[in-house]
Amino acid sequence: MKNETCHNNEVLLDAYYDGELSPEEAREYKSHLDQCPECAQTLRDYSSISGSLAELSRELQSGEGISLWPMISSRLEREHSVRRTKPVTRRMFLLRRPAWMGLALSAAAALILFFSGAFQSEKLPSNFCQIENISSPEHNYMIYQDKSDGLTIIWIME
Amino acid sequence: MRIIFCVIVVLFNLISNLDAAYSDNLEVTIDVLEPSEEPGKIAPGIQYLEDKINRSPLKYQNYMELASAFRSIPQGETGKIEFNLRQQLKLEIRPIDLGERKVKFSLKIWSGGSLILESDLTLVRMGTVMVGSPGNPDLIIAISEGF
Repeated sequence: MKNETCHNNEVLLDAYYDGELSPEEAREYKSHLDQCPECAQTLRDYSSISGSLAELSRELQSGEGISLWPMISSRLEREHSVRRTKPVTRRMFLLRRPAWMGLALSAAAALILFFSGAFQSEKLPSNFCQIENISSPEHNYMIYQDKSDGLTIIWIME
Repeated sequence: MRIIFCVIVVLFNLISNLDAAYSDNLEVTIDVLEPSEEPGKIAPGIQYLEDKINRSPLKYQNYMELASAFRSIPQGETGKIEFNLRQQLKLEIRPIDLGERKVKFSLKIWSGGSLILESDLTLVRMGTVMVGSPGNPDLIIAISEGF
């Protein structure tokens, strides 16, 4: 139970804790604290609260062990992942070209192939001749084919 | 996708129609030559054959043009050509397939009334095929497309 003098001494306790008392006043109040457990406990509470506040202040400055950091960290991670997805978005835009562009490219490729001769077969010799079948009932025959221009001579022999 | 497919189909139609756009007739020139060992210049009418003959194994000194004929033969019909020479020559040519770059035709040759050659040939457009016919002297029949 606090006595009457202690009630008045709360102002003194604040001044004592803050170091605002003169050395003489501080000694007198110290002797009071030795005799008054309630005021001594109040002073310990002040110290405890002050210590906790100082620790919190240190943690805020270092960024460790506080509940805000995970939240901030996760937010930063989300923003980073959004930045990473931006190129994909651009690629998707490229893939969604207008339909006529695909058609134009296909037609151009087909025309290039057509006019470059890709659909045409190889060049034939100037006198290319293919004998599909041949017969000479009463004669032998000899066939000459020139390797360069393909000229074919069928020589029927007597 | 359907439009691309249509473009491809149109291109293939264009390619295949190139064949169809060509002449429906087989146009052939037949020259009958008599080779000889007498030096001389090749006749003007067969000068287009000079280079071909010079590159062939035929090593005669000269070639005389005995006869020439041109026929335009519709597909499905048979062109008949007869030459009344020392040995009677008769040719029958029947177009089988007329393409853009090649023609396929059936060729029959009679000499002195006997069949000496029966053949189906595929010849490049503007190309020449030669047939040596036995006789005294031998004759050379040059069959050229498109002249």
